[in-house]
Amino acid sequence: MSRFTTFAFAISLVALSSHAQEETTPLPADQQTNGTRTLDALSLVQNTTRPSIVQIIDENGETAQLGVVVTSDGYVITKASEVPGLDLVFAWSDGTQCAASVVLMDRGLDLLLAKADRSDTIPIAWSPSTKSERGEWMLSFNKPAASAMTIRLGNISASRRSIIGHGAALGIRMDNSRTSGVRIVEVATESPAEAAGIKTEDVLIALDDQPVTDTSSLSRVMMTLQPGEQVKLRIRRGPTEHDCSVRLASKSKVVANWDGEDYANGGVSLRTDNFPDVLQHQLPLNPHDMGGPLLNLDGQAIGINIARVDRVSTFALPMETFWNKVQQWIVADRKAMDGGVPEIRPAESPERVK
Amino acid sequence: MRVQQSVGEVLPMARKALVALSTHDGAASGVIVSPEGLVLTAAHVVSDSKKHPAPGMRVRVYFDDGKQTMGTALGMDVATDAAMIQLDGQRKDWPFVELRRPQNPVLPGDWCFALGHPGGYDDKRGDVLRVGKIIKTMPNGFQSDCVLMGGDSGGPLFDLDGNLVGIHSQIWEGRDQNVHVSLAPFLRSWDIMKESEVVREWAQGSGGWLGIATRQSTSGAIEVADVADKSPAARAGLRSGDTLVSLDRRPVKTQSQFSAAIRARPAGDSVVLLVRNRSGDRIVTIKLASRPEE
Repeated sequence: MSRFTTFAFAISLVALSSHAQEETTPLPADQQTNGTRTLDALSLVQNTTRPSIVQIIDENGETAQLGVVVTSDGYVITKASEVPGLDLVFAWSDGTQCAASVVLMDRGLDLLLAKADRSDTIPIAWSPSTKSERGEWMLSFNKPAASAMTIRLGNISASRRSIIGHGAALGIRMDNSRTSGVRIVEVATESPAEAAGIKTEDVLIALDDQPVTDTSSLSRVMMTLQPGEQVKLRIRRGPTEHDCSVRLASKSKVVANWDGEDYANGGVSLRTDNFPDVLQHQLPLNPHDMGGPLLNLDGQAIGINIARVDRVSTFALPMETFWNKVQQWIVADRKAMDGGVPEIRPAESPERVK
Repeated sequence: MRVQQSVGEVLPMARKALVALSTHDGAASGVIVSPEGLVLTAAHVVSDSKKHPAPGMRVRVYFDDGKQTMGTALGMDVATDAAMIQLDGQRKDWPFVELRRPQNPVLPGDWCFALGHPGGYDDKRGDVLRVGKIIKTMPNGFQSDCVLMGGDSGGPLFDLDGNLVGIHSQIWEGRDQNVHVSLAPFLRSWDIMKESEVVREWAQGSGGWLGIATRQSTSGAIEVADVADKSPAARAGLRSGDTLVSLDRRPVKTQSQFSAAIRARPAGDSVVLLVRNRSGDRIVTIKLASRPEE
């Protein structure tokens, strides 16, 4: 063996054993990346940004999602497709709750503008730049089920890009029933169909009061629907019929998670695709945290969290995709409130609610 | 922040050496560690559909720029989930990360970062970075809070100096339950794995064995307290009461420093000891053995 090869051999072997180490005491939870001691350094950012975030409360009093305060007169933006209803309840950082009305929804961006009747709200500060590289630290708020909202730390994890949509799905495999309707052959784990209580051998006979005759008629209707939309299904089970209401999910998400979510922790959002531009990060958030801001270390918002995608990914819309639009919506809504004519053309506001 | 800056500095090189892998039954990741195209990955990545190790398995390899090549599985350690792949062709200029002797051992609380292709190769998304902390170290691996999922398997874990320290192996439900194989199983079986052999026995990787117990004398010197029969130390003539002055020309200061230094060398490697007793100083070269089974 030549001197050189012996040397190379020794190098590799030396590296080997310095890694051979005993099992150590685990790092205490409070010192982990999102442990309380690590996050202590961020308490100033947490305290200054916290008043600009609302919790949107569902009928059970739980936090359904978060929203970002964008003006001092009560305008808030949030994710559109999973709001609990059109009559919203906001919980503020001062501990009070109030009703809020939906101004409009933009299905393309999956954003919703709502207004609370308050004139003392503190808008979030927007960052002058949303340019961000892999590895840059980011902050967001997370509302665990049983405790207070807390700031979380993570990083930009992948390339900024658009996410193509592949339509909506219920999460069923089906064939034609012997009579009219569609027979359910299989229900995907953690899918909208499963959440609605649909079981195999059920027969789907109507969707939003339109009769479903066979699989192709159902497919045609599904192509017109978007993830996040709520539809009413009429189900025949044995001799009885019943209605149930279900929120559709992104087809790509349903297919990817057919046998359940890959240790996603807290689940994934219903709509995970069809976005014009997203920032991807790995903050430990849940679907209920969508609608909250994505902040830089100075506490300035660079976007809004729009979809929890899987165990390692959350998408945020960067502010350029929506901020001009949101400002126009607000200007138009204020004019309308003053009795003026809304200036937004229908093309820019796909779904005017008020 | 210091962590962000360190990651930013070493990330470009680390990303270049990362590859996405596609096998007959799924997506995974790997990292190139030599200019000749040797790739480290996890053993379960190159196992067949019955979970049997499959040296010789053909693997499609994707690079960050979308280029593709093929590779062949070499050997693996199925007990610890370590494996090697050789890229096709005669290229000697693959982008790679050098396996360096780490300046510091990996410890709980250390910052680290994971790269990989979760869910498989996506040309628009590219690779996915997760910065986090080491939670726990085990004899052949680490647990971190860098969240991983399917497709990350075989991808690299780096320290903030850009040293490769582990290969993604498995996850449990918790966000902090992400398990990486350390480099120990690779380096201990490096040549065996390159010969496409399969290692099946779980080894501690406890490094070399000298066969002595030490004690600290009242003057602070480190002495031999006991010598195991038929051990390398016994064959080299070490006796109880001998003072250990230096190991590989470095002064021996504490018992733990000495035993750590011995264990940081593999069996088969030689160490040079300066030993002092009443008859004077002598230099002995001792070839370390494996720790005998109890």
